[in-house]
Amino acid sequence: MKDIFDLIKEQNYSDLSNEELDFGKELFETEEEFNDLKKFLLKSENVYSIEKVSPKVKEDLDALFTESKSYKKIIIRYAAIAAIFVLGFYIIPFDEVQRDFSKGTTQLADNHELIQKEKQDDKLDKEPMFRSSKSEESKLTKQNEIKSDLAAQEKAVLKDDIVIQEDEDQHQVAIIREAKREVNHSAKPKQLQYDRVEKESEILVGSPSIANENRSAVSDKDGIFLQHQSANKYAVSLKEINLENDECWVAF
Amino acid sequence: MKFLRTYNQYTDEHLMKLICEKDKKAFNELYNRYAAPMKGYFKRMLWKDNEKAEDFVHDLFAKIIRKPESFDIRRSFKTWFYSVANNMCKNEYKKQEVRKNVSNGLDQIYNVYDTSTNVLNEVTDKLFKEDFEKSLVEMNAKHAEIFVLRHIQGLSIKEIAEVLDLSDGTVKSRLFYATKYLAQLLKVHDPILNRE
Repeated sequence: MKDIFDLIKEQNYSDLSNEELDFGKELFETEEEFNDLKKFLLKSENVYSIEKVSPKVKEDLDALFTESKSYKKIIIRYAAIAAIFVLGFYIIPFDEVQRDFSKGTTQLADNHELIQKEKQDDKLDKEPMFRSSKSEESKLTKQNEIKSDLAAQEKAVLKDDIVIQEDEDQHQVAIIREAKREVNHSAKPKQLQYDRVEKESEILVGSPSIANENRSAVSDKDGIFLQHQSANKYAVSLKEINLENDECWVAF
Repeated sequence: MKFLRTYNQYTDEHLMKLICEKDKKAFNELYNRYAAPMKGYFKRMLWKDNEKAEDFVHDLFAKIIRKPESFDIRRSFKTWFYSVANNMCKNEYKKQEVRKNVSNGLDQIYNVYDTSTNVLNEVTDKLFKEDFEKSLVEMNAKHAEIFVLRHIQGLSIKEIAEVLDLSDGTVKSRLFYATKYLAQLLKVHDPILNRE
């Protein structure tokens, strides 16, 4: 885009339009001033001959360019190796590789019983309440959190019962029961809302003191349970009811 | 499309893109376009010190080789390049200022011109050039750099504004002032000017 200086250099004063004259008013007011400026600009523009740069500068830069190019190549090579390694890590099914490896070295994978036990253990691990410890219990303070925990427990218990029925292996049944004991143990935090029962003897199947339209007592081979019917999920083993001063407190 | 065109047909920005991919020919082309003007620029900005100007040209192009990605290809290469060069000069001014203060004014680095030249006796282009350069150095640096960028390096007002991070209006007013000031100052060379 041409500016006023280009106009001064390229045109004569008489060729300038009123608009251009007005635009150049800050630089010249008369034709003489215009011509002086024109000569000065043309002279100063040509005062410098084209500078020659020493070939040494270019040689040094060429060397630097080659150096940086090879450096980049090395970086790219390492990056490619790293990328292959990372991709390989995600593509190769390491579980299977490890299992095959175990099979080849220790022969433990042939033991069907152990695999089944492992699967059961995995199931238990997926239920967080099964692993809760006594110290963790004391941290639970909110009633609603615990209620949802109890719901999760019942789910786990029901799930485990199915497993028990299906599984003929007594050893595994023992494992499941062990897990259930853990659950029930963790299911008696003191912060729970309690329903008061006068005596343990009153807690019977269908007992009016604890059974109402919302809950009822049920029993099975593992003991007596109090079931909250509205939610249809809450179940507390009465074996774990907290007995204090001949009073029985049932946690919901 | 690279093989269908010669490198001298590419824009500066396109060449920079190719330099990012380590294209040596693209670098050569850019060097051919800018090495000489940049040397001239550095020479004028750095007290006519030829060696220093060449060092600066080297350092400037080395920046392109080492970190070509520092240039944003959406910008104009020319203005970016001159901005970098301008910043290098400013850093050099600071260095020289420190050196000057340390040497308690004994450093004569600024006096690179032979002031004993008898202006009245030699009516030549050389004299005009020397006087012109002297006037540039003596002039306020803010005005001089704009004059050089516009009238010697051939940048537009808009490009100068971008290089120096100034408004178009500021560039214009400084440029008008510098041009008028120098034209007035060098009017003593009228015979030379009129000779054309």
